[in-house]
Amino acid sequence: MKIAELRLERFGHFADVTLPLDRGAATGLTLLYGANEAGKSTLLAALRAFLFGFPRGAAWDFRWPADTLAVGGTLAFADGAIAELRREKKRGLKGKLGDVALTDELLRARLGRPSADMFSTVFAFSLEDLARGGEALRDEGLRAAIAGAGLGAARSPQAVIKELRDKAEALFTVKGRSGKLINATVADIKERELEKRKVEARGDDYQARIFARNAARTDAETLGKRRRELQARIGEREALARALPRRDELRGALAERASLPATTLPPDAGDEFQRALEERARLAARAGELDAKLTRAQLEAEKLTVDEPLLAAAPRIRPLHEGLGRHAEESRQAEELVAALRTRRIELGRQLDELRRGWALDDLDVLPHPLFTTGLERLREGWSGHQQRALELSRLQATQRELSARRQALRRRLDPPWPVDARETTEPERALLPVPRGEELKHHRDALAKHERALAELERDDDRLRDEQRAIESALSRLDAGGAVPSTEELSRLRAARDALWSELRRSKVAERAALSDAFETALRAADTHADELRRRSDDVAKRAELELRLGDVARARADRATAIAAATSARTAAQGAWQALWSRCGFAPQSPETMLEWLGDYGELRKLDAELGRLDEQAATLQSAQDDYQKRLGAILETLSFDVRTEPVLAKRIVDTVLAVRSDVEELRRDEERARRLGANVAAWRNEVKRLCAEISPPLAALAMQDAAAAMRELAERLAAAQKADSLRAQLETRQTELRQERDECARRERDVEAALAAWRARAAVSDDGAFVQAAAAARRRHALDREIAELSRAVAEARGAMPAEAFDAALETAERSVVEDELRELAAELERVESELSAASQRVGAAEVSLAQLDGGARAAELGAGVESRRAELRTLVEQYAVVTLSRALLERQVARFQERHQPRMLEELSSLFAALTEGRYTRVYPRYDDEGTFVAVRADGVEVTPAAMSTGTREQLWLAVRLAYVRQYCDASEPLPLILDDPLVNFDAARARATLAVLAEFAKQSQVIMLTCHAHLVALARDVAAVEPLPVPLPS
Amino acid sequence: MLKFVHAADLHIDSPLRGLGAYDGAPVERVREATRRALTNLVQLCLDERAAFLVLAGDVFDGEWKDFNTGLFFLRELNRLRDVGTRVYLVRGNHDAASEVTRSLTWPEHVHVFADDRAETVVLDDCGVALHGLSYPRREVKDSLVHPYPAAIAGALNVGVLHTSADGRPGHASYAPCAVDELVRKGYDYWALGHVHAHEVLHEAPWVVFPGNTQGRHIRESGAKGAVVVAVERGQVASVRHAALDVVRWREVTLTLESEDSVDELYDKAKEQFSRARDEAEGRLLAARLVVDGATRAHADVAAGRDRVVAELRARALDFGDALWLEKVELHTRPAVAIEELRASEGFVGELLRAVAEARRDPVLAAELRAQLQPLIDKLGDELPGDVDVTAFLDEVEAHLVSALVAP
Repeated sequence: MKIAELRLERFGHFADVTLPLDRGAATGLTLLYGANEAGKSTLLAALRAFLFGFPRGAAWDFRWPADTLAVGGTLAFADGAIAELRREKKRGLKGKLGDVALTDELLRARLGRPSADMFSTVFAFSLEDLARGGEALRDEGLRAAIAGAGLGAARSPQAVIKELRDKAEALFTVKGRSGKLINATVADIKERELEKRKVEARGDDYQARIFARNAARTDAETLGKRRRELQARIGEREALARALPRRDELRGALAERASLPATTLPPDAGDEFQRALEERARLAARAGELDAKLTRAQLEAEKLTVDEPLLAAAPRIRPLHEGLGRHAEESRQAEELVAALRTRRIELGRQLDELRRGWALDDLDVLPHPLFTTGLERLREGWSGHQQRALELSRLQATQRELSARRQALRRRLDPPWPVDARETTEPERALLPVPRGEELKHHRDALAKHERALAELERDDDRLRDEQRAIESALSRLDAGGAVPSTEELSRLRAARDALWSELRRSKVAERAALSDAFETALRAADTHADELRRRSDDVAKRAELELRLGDVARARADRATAIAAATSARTAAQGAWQALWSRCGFAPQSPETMLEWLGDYGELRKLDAELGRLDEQAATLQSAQDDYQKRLGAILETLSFDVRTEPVLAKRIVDTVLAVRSDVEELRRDEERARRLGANVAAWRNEVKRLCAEISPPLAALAMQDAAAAMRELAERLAAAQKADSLRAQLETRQTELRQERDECARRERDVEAALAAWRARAAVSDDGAFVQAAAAARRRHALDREIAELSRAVAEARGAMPAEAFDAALETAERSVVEDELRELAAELERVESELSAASQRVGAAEVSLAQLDGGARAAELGAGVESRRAELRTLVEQYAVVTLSRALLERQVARFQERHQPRMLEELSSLFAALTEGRYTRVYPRYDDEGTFVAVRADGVEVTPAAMSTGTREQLWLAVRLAYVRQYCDASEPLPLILDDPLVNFDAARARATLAVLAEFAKQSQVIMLTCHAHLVALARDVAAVEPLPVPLPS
Repeated sequence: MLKFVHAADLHIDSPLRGLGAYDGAPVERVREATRRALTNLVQLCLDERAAFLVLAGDVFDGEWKDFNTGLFFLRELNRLRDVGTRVYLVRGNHDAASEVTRSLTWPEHVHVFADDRAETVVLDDCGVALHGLSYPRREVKDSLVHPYPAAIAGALNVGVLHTSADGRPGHASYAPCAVDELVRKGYDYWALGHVHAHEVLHEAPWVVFPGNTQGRHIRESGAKGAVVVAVERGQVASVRHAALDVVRWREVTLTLESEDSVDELYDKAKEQFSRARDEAEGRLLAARLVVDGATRAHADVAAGRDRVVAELRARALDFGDALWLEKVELHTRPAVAIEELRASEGFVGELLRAVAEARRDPVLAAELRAQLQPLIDKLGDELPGDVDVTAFLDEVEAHLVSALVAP
């Protein structure tokens, strides 16, 4: 394939540039010549993009926007087919191959499916790529691509082989399990099969379990029967064993009873008789004691003497004696009271005299009683209230003063705007002002603020626009200072002139095939300079136009602002007018809304103070009225008492208190005097009574009573106490004698009864004395005991029989011997133990057999495990299929790659050696690969020395890599659609001879494949012209 | 009217094959499928008030050893005893080899035909005569029809025979016989067993394969069950197939268009699943999806086969426990002209021609097979039969084209 024509519509700095790259049949070598910065690298990139598409993120959109980049051209294929195509970065490829629409896929297929990377490295490379040498070829993917170059595959077969091998190894290896899917699955299947076999139940196993269970049941039944038999026999023997001792005892009891005489005595006759004997002895002893006590009591009673007359006077003596203490106390009180009363009377008289000279106690008696009760008493009661009211009134007045001061201060704050009247009296203003509500104030405040803000913002905006306008004008001035900026039309004319010059140059110089001369160089430079100047000026033109446009916008914006500012100012004025109107009814002009909000608060405070002051005034008036009333009553009382009505309240209070106190004390004094008189009368009466009594009872005492009645009374009381004591003792002795006599009679009666009972017992036993009776009673007791014993033993024997038939048991009991029965029992017990042990084992066997049989419940565990195995087998089949496909693919691919390489590899090495020899003018004759991991090539010099690329000079090394590429290219083009070779200044480091040789090789190469070479070196152009008769195609200057 | 039920090839506890487990697969619904089919069979007899049940062989798999399966079978049959329904059974090739069958103690209401001579059992209360002969051993290569007794006049004669008839693919040829041979016997109804697909070979007299009661793999697809035979006035009035299976197998084929992407593959697959699920009449559907076609989606398939399968299984999970995606076979090809490639010069053309050669050249095929020998040795018995490499070559070809050529 050859690129016949390349069109750079928008790429890099190129625009609308067409390059005819097919120089015709004479040679396939096209030389593009351009100075540095002319765009050779850009052209190289454009060629790559043209064939393989725009790479992502490329930097070729520095002049034109990325979505406008486009290249196009014409391709001529080896089979004569022509493709016209155009590629846009945004929209991709469009074109035709003959009459068929050309797609990316079709183009790739026609090109032989080379990768873009491989093309860039092998076919379209720069000096830099050559300089990187083997490194550029060392990239794994690239080497694979090169290795596969010419194979017509999009991916390297080696890479695919590796991939397939990796996939296969992930699935299966001969050894190992972990991580290998097939190995692990096979192992898992085996484990599951084992598990399934463990839970499978076999048919013969089932039958065996049935048989085992039945056999165990039979054994258990047999042993159970034997056990029951043994238990029955043991029961019989145990009954005999229990009954034998009883039998022996019974026999003994019967024999003893037979030896005793018959009797009618009860079993407790002996005890009863004994108790009677003991009672009789006790009664006799008691009688003796009682007689002795009676005699002693009689003697004692005879010794006592009692004062009868004194006892008869006791009712008169006792009360007097009891009054002895009271008499002494009353006597003392009377004396004390008289003395105290005297002192008090004197004191009270003094108190009254102090109040008013000459005023005596008797004077109080003439005063009317109501004066004291309703007058003085009420005054005294109301005194504390009077004091309290005075205090309250004082505090109230202080508060009033304070509030008034605050009000005055607040009122002054309200001016302005509310002026304080200079003629204002001390009376506070009471009328209300028609002030607006707080919400109205806030509303007006907010409205005014909004207008202010709007206006300020408009003015700021206008300032900014004005500044911008000035800046633009300044920039325009500076532009003009640099010289007249051409207009857009002028600029276009200049461009057309430049293009015409170029066309003329090209036509005249190239068409005529005139030799390149200095004039061409000069013209070229002039054209460059002109182009640069044009470019710079064109920037200025664009800039000027932009500035003028912007200036116009700013002017319009300012005009709009002015209109808006006027409207905002008008709105603000209207809002201010409304504010003023709001306060018109108050009679003053308001200040600012913020100030008036605060003013409104103060005004409210003022109204509250006025209300408070009013309330305080009322309260003070009420208190004062009460005070006046009290004062009036006080004055009346003082007048009645003949005191000055103007007496000070405190002194008046003292007068009232003193009068009332003295009056009270006088009343009390009189009561106490009466009491003292009564006490004296009581004392005298008692003494007289004592004297009289003593005179009656005992003349000696009477004399004592005349001197000391109390002492006489005490003596009398003592004598009376002694007489009473003797009298009491005499009565006790008499009572005691009576009791003793009664007890003595009872004792005799009981002795007679006991004696009778004893005689009855003896008669019953038919004996005459007590000893004989005792013996008879003992025999009767024993006989009764034996009867009971015999009955119990018989019962015990009957119980021991148990369930045995009575006749058989009795017969056996009759002849059984204890030792024999015990031996039999031991034997039977041992047998039973053995049988029970065997029975327990048999029962366990039955249980185990049942459990074992129950495990075969028809469950599906084995089936479930079998399903699990099949599931894994299904997975295994899938894995095996995957492995088979991957392994067979790899085997076929390896086989084919080996064959292919076998065919082509030697030829490629020959080609490489031949090319390298030609490029180095025979200095090197051969090249071969070392087949190491690096893919090192070794060159052999003509003198046989082997040289690695590292040991070569830069130029020679670059020639080697060039030769490698050319050899690959040759191989590729032989097997697939030939692709153009594009080289960007690769001969820089070659000397003249080698450059010549290289150009010759390239020219030869170009006979079969298109070769496009870009250079900026004139000497290479000359060389190319000389070696290959190639005329350069200039790299068009950027437009 | 008299009814009886004819079933065969229960293969109780024979595992369902091919259902590889994956996350979300409705394992519980597959569990004990053959057992539940048997339960359904017994219930069918009860619902139809069948006078008797005929089992024409292969109750268990021959190699199945777990006696619990036999106990389960007897437990189910005892439900018929409770209502007086008798069971008549011939042993087939599997039964002849089955340890379980040999160990079972049959209850009184079950009659197993002898294997040394053809037997006749006359049901006087029904006016039916049943003739049967069990397999004496696993492999019976000759026809067993001849020893069957002659038809009894005045009775409805029913022959019970386990046979491959005149041959059916996928079934070994046991006790082969011609349909004519059966017809000539003069019976009114032949209750056959062994072939797992329901088929009526002849009407009047009726020669019927009921098919098995539960499909066990993808090759046993469609409805499975038993046959209810109605008899009126001593003649077969109707033969109706009743589905008893709990898992229904079906292969779903999807051919992609060249412009179909992998998303279209998923969408179309889901549509197919939905249709197939509806046809399963409420049963669990075990579906195998086969995708083919030269398509743009092949690039995604080749790049990530496992991911594509996982996505398809995820779509299957949308159907809850109604669908088990048994297998996904991806046989897509790149949307390139493989024939042109194969004919082209160059490496890829040569490679594809080598693949074609492997189909024809036994030596090359043997070389390729040798690559698989280590695996074959490792798998041993797990790999039934020989490995035929040519069966993989289509997929190998598509794989290589995708790897080397397709973008």
